[in-house]
Amino acid sequence: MKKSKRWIAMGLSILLTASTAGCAKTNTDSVSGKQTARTGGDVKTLTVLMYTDWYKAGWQALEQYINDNSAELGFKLEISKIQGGSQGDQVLQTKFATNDLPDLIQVYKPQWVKSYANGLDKLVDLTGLECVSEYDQAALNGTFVYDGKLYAVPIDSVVLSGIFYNKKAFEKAGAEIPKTWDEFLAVCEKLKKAGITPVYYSAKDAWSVQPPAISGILNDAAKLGTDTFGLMEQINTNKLKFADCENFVASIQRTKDLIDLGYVNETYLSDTVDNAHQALANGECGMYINGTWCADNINKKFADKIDDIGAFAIPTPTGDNYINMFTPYSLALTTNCKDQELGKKALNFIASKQAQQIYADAQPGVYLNKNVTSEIPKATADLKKIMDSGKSMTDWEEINQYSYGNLSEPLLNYYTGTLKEAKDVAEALDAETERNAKAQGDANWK
Amino acid sequence: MRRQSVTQRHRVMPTGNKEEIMNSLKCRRYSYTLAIPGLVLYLIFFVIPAGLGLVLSFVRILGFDLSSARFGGLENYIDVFTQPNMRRAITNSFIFAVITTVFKMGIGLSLAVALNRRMAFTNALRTIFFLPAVINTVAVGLIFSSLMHPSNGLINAFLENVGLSALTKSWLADPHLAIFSVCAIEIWKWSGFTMVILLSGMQTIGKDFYEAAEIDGAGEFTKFRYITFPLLLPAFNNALILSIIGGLKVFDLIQATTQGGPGSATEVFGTLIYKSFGAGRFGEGCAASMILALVIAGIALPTYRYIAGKEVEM
Repeated sequence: MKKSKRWIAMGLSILLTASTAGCAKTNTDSVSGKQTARTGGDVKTLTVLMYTDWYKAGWQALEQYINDNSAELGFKLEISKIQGGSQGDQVLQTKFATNDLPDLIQVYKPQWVKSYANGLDKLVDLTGLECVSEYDQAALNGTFVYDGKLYAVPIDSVVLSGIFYNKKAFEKAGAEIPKTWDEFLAVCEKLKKAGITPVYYSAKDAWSVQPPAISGILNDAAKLGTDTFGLMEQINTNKLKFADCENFVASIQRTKDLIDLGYVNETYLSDTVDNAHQALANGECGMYINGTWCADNINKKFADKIDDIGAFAIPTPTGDNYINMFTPYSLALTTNCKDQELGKKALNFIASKQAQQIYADAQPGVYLNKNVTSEIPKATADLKKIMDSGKSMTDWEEINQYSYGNLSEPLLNYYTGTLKEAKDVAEALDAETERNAKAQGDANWK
Repeated sequence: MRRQSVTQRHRVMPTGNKEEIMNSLKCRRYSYTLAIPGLVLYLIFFVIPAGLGLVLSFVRILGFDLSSARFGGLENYIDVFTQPNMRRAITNSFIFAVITTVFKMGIGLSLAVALNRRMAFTNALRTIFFLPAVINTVAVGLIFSSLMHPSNGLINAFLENVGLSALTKSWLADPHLAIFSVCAIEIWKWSGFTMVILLSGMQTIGKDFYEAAEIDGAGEFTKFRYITFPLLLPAFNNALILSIIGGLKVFDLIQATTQGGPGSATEVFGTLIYKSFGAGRFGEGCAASMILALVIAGIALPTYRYIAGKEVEM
């Protein structure tokens, strides 16, 4: 009896170990099986990987079109999605490190792949794609064309950052669109007197405090006679410090002034981006500083109010106002794709007018493809006009090699009194940059 | 009187007879064989990662750029201690651990004493007090973020309606108050769990102790002081250590309610480690994890040994 018990126990233990190993084997097989283009008659399947929150109406429509017409196109797509945010970034970094890549991969941009995943050598040079003629070369340079090679094609729309305002609230307060900072303060005063919260901050979603503060650095780039790529090149190589960017520091100071002057919602530390959209749509606040995500969300949740919303550039003291531009995401071909010609053909189609128009029809926005037309909200159109007039620059945080996304913490420390001066915020960013650069052993910081 | 440990009792069992020794050896082999799968999993998922973490804590690396990896000696450890938010994180971690431990043990013990008797709804009350412990921490964070909203939250609305407007606060948004608000949420969530541990300890205490004490004329407080609490010490010790460890390594509740903010007002060691990893400074993150493990061990072990030394056998 004792012996049989022992054998049963041993058997169960072995079974437990074997089943665990079995699970792992199954997973490995299923993952590696997706890495290659598979043949199904004349139509091959290309695997695609992206973050869940990037798979919106545009991608859904385009995927359906491609898969419905796969016989004609010669390929179909099998899209896998992973969670976004910093955890998603780490999954992507791991996939690049272990070469566990799909045929096509959607990433922020090739520079991100180089700086944060050390995987640029795993992306295929797409130079020579026909669809490139449908884009302004200047719009591709620096982002999609990187280190002289076309590493990716644009996917999704451009996001423009500015001040979104409620036209009815402005009308009620007798306010006009301001061009300079003094005019802006006058507008705030008028709105306040009319019982409307002039400016809405939504610091519960910490990232959202950044758009108001980051615009000043565009003026620093202009002052240096360059753009954000040129300016960040100096910061990324320790030739320039954030704390030395006078306009940047001044713009941080101005965002705090708005709080001190009582122009910002009192509960801003507890309020979210959703609260902000609702307040702006309902005219409870006059202005909200954010990206065109704001117009998209109001269009989705308060469609009847979208025409009440307009937008303008964040005013500076001199009136030389720029807007921040977040470039579209990048869709790249990986070296893991067995049929690279087919991969290029697929990307050429996805970036073409035909495919981009399908994407834009399902998800209106500003697209880099010159031949695409889209019904965009009026507020987005206001900012697009500014972009078309040449007063926009690529968001500097996206091309910041060493401290992406860490501005909100020192900003909130400044707003709540832990940091005393606006320059302290810039210095905190410099300190973060230095820590990251030294961790990577960058010789410029020795 | 110190209790004899299980291993000590095992050690004295064989009495020199060859057959008994052989049986004992077989018995041991049998136990070890059964333990192997568990030990292998422990080795793969705990010992090896912990060892690699220790190695990585001496390596300078940013993200997955393995080409930039180099031996950095104690640089990562120095970086941890020179982090701008380090002092605040240490202070907050200790504030959190001390406050939550004191209140969780106090409330848990009171509830356990109150519910260790037959009353109407005793079982229902035990379940109700334990329920917060099984709610997902992210859900708790979302619920309390909403309840504690300064203008729309139910807590401030309640205070205003009962004429206590002066007590309304920006519970999670006031940099001086936020850490205490998060402590309150933690206490609400885990006091019931402490109660269950202590209650199970109380139910192992024989009735004859109390009957003897009653014959001697002991009152309720005397019975608690001289019978319940001393015999409850093993369970109390476990609950206390769990609470101290949980308090020092808190991360999930902070992340779900304030993300360490506003700014860095509720930064704790756990969020600092998360930010190091998030920024791709894996070496620094590992170094910070090692320091946290040492700090926890340095506090929890002596505390455990001290209280264990005072335990009495039933």
